[in-house]
Formats: sequence, C-alpha cells, structure tokens
Amino acid sequence: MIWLKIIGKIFRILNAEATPKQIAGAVTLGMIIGLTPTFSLHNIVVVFLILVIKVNLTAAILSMFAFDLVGYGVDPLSDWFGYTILTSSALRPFWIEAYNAAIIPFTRFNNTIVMGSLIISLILLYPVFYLTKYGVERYRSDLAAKFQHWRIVKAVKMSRLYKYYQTYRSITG
Amino acid sequence: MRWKFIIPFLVFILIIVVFVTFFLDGIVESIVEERASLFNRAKVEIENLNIGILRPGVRIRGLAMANADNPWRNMVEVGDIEISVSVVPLFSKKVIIDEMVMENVRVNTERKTSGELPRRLRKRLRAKDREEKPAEVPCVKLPNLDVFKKKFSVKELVDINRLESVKRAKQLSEDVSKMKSRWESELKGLDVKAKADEIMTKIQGSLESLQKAEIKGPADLLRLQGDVKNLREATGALEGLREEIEAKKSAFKRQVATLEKSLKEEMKRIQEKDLQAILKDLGLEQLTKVRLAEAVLCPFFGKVLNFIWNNVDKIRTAMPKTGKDEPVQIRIRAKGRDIIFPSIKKGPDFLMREARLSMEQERWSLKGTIKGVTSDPTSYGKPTRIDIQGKRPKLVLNGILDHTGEVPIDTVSLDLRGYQLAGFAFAENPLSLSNITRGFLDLKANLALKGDSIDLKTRTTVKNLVLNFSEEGKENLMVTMVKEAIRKAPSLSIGLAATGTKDNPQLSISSDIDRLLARQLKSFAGKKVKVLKASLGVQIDGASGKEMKGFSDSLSQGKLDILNQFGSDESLVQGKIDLLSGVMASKTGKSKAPKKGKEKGLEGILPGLISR
Repeated sequence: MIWLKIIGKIFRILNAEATPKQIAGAVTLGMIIGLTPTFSLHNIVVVFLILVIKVNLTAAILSMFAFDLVGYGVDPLSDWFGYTILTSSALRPFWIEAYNAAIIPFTRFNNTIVMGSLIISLILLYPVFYLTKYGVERYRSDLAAKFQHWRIVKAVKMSRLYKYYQTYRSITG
Repeated sequence: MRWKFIIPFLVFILIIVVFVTFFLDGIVESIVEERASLFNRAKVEIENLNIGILRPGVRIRGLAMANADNPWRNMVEVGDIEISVSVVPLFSKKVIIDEMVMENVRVNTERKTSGELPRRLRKRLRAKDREEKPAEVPCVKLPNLDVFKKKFSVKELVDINRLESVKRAKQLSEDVSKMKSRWESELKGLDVKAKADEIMTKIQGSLESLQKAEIKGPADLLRLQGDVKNLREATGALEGLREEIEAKKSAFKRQVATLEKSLKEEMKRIQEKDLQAILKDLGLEQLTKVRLAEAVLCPFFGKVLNFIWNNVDKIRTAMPKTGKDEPVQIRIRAKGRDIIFPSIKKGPDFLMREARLSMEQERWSLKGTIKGVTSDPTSYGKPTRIDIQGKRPKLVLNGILDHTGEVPIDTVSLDLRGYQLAGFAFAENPLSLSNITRGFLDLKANLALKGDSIDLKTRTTVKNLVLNFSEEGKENLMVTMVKEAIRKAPSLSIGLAATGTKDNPQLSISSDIDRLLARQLKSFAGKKVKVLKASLGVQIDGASGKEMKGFSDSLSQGKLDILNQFGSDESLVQGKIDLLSGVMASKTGKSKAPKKGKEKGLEGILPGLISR
C-alpha cells in the first residue's frame, strides 16, 4: 500500500501544475537534508528555504526520504571525504578560524560525516537539479501519454487494489 | 514567496518569544537559586528574575542570601541587580557582562523564614564537605581564678602517674643498671687476669733463672742480660695494662660524674615542666603574660581565617590560571569522527567588566566598583580590582586579585573608621561575653595571600567600649576582673597578625588591655599563685624524690661495684709488677719497686750497670 501511495504521489507530482524547476529545486533541497545528518544547523536553513521558496513540498519530502536511504550507503565515503578535507594541512588555518568563530561550531562542520556529506551534496547540487528538471520536462513532453498506454499501468489501474486506493484517496482528499 | 508557510513560521517565533517571556525566567531563576544556595551553604532566594531579549541582559529583584551560621538572618540582601550582556560573544559561548549594577545592598538583615538548605541540597553539600577540612587555629586559655574560690588539696592536683619527672626517675634506675652492665662487659673485654697471666707465663723461665742466679758483678749481669731484658719487657707490658685499666676507670668516673650533674639539672627542668603543666591545666600558667584579647577573639578570628581561605579557594577555582591549548584530537561520534581543533583564546569565556554597587542601611552607606572578574585571568591579562568607599562608616576598601601569573596573589587593604559595634554578638568565648552594648571601631587591615601562604595584619582601636556579659559568667572571677579593666580603660587597641598556611596557621593577637589585666591579675592572684606554685613544687619533688632515691641508691651501688672491679684488676696487675720489680731490685741492689711506668725503674738502672 505504501509503495503504491509513493508511486501515486510521484505521478501526481509529475502531472501536477508545478513547473519542472519547482520540482527539481525541491528534489535538490530534499537531497541535501537526506544526505547529510538530519539534526544539523544547515538543515534548518534548508528546511526554511523549502518552506519559503515556492518548491514542491511533496517532492522535497520524498527526495529527503529517498536520499536518506542513499545516505546510509554513502556514509563511509562521506567519512573519508570529510576526514580528508578536515585534516588537509592547507585548509587547517581556515578550519581553526572557523572552529573558534561565533555560531559556525554549532553547524558541527568538524564532524567528518557532516562535512563529507555536505560537500557531496553540494557537488551533486547542480547535476541533480539539471537531471530532475530534464527528466520532468522529458516525461511531460514525451513519456506521459505513452506511459498511460503501458500494459502494466493499465493492469494496475484495473486492479482492485488501485480501486481501493482511489476510493481511499477520494475519502481522504 | 509561500506566505502560508511564512505566517506559521512567524507564529512559531511568537510562541518561542512567549515561552521565553513566561517560562524561561522561572527556569533560569530556579537554576540560579539552586547553584547559589550550594555555593553559599544556605538558601539564596530571588524574588523576580527577568531575562531581557531586546535589551540583552538580566534583571534580578530581591536577592537574599541567608547566613549559613545563622539561618534566621540574611548575610546580604540586594534590592536590584541589573546585568547588561554583550550579545555577539554569546554565539561563541562567551558571557561578557559589560556592566552590573547592584543597588540597595543590605547586610545582616532579618529573615521571616529559615535560610537553612532543604534536605535535598544538604545531602549534596555533605558529599562535598567530606573533601573540605577546616583549618585549626590554636587558641590560648584564660587563667581559671575560680580555683581559689574553693578549698582544694594540692595533693589532688598532682597526679603522680602523669608527672614526667616521676616517669623519668623510674627510667633513670633502668639506665643505671644498663650502664653498669655495659661497664661490666667492658671490664670483661679487658680480661686483665688472662692478659697478666699470659705475660707472666712468657717470662716464667727468665724469672726463675734470675731468682736463682747470683749477681756479683757486671760479668754476671751480662750473662743474664737476656733474662733481664725479658723481665723489663714484661714489666712494660704490665704497666701498659695498668694504664689501660686506669684510663677506663677515669672514663667511668667522668661518665658517672657527668650523669649525676646533668641528671640533677634535667630533673629540675622536668619538675619545672610538670609544675607548668599543672598550672596550665588550671589556667594559671603565666599571669604576667595573660593574653585576654587572643583568648576571647581567637575563636572568632579562627572563623574569619577559615572564611577567607574557603572563599579564596572558591575564587581561585572560579578564576584559575589557564592551561595550555589542547592538542588536535579525534573523537569518534556515531559513524563519523569529530576533529577537535585547537582553540584560539580570544578573551575569556566569562568576563564581567564592571560591577557597581551601592549600599544604604542604618549603619552602612557604601559605594564601590569591582572590575575585571573573569574565568580566565591569564587571557584577560588584568587583575580583578575592588574599590569600595563608605561615608557611614568612613571606609576605604581596596583589593587586587591578581591571578594572571604563575602564583595567584590576592591583596586587600581596609581602612575603617567609626564603625558602631553596638549589637555585635560574640561567638563562644571563655569570658561569657554575649554582645557589645556600646563601642566604636577603627580598623586598619592588610591581607596578602600569595599562593597558599597568608599574611594578615590588623590594628584595631575600640573606643567607649561597654560589654554585655551573659548570666553564666556572673560568678566568674576572671569576668569580674575584665569588667573592672574595661571600666578603667574603655578604649583599647588590638593587634592581630596571622601568618602561615592553611595547614599550619599562626595567629597572634595582642592588646593593651592584656598589660592592664596582667597587673590586676598579679595583684589579685600573684601571692596565691606563688604559694600554690611552692606547694605544687614540694609535691612534685616528693613524688619524683622517691623514685630519685631509688635511682641514687642503684647508682651508688653500681658505681661501687664497678670501681671495686677496677680496684681488684689494678691490684692484680700491680702485684705482678711488684713481684718483677722486687726480683730486679734484689739483683741490682734497688729495693724500691716503681709504682708507675714513668718512674725510673729497671730501665734507668740496668743501662747504668751495663755501661759500668
């Protein structure tokens, strides 16, 4: 049921009025929260941005959960990446300054996973945004109509389970 | 912009502001009250605490610190405290107080409820107390003149078992028997008889041949030259032995004489000590050097010293010398690692730049500043300065708490004039003093604490003093005498000096009233004490005399025994020398045997005969 709900949500997002940019922005911001440890100061800023900027909320939440799962797998890489950056002798004076500055220490930047995952998510920022935007545009222009004719989609739509879901949707709104 | 999210966000912010306004103050208030109560060892209560958000700071109204020694009184009460805090450093976990203003400060005020700590906090304090050990300040006693009020037996005052002189006299008899056995073993070691017999056995042949031979002329003498030589050597050896015995005998005599002489002096000293100990128990040790001020004020100043030490310890713990920066560390945290970078000290974590206080009370009208209170004096680089001036009474208090160097140095100087002493309650004291009815105090004090050592000097003048004694001391002769002394000299000066460390404090208090009182005491009890001393002396002498007689008897007997042994040894050796000398004399025509080796014997005669 939950998977159907998620798939349904994805299709609703793809077919919704939200522009591809809004969906791509939401996925990108959700990715940052998902990849980095949830309770970090920078994530408050990201959540604030999600709430204030007109991005698709559902997409952001789904992206957050999706990338959270990815994050578990990426943690060893984030740890290595963060450790390399934080112990780099060239950057050491900068880190010491930041460590002794106001507010910055509250971001837990000196944690290898926080630093590594944040850098990874910043690197992935543009590719994820671009790919999502491109994907949504391609889906809407080429795939949406074809997709409705796929046998599997038809089968799902014909299934009793889907009807139950539709009824549930109409009740819950 | 998504307004439907911005509005809830603003509502959220509003909730936080409401929480801060209504609840944060109360939470902080209870935390401050609890921490401060533990520090003060008695209740610290706050009427109202406000945390300012727009004008960052704290405002405290009605702070009352109960007195731990008297929970029904407040040690300090402060009407208003306003603290202005710098905001930016707070984000770097630094608390910088730009200014603190304390108004309506009052001391020693009455409380409506007890200021004793609740049981929960008392338990926590007890756990702490186990580590703290108060310094013990030795205090002097006052003469107990009441001993003369009732009839007493001197015999009862002298407890023979406690007399050092008796113990020493008993020990001396043992020493004599030890000395005797040591000298007996020395004599045994000499083994005079064996040595003399050995010498005689060696020359037995020569002696017999010389006894039988008839010497008519030098030719006969030349024939017996070898025998004569042997006899001469044997006589020399015997004389050496006799000299050895004489040397030992003289050493023994000297030792006995020294012992007799030194023991007499030692016994006198110990008997005097016994006498002083008994007089000390009676509080009549030194009437002329009575230290009234010290006896009365020592417990009070002992408490003051402990108060200084405890608070200095607390201040020094709160304002320690900063350690070196931590090296880079890596701390495991969940799946990641925290890299701990060295901290660059940009000023201390806590700093109160300036605190201004004003105090208006019946007896006090003071104003002052405290500057530079910090948790890190080394980083701040300046000492804490205290400057307080008073109009009523006239007061100047200056303090410098310098914890910036290797050794913390705290200096405080106080000049107080015309302070009203009326109502001052005395702590437990030997004179049953309850409080001061009237009196004015001038005080100059200098306190220097360098590391663990203290150097406190005060000079106090008390004018127009009227004391109030409790009923307990009504019958006390000493109290009567002090009353008389105070009546004669209502103004007195007291000098106090405290030195040493917490573990070894030295306190001395002197006063001009001591001299006055000493004169009074001497005229009142001088003769009585003299008579008492004489009677006690006789008692002590009698008690130790018995033991001393035993000691003298055993010493005489031991001396006699050892000297007899020396005598018999001497006689033995002298007999042999006489025999040999007799033989030699009979052969050479000389009849007188030499008594001692140095006298001219055979050694002088034979060469003459031979050369003839």
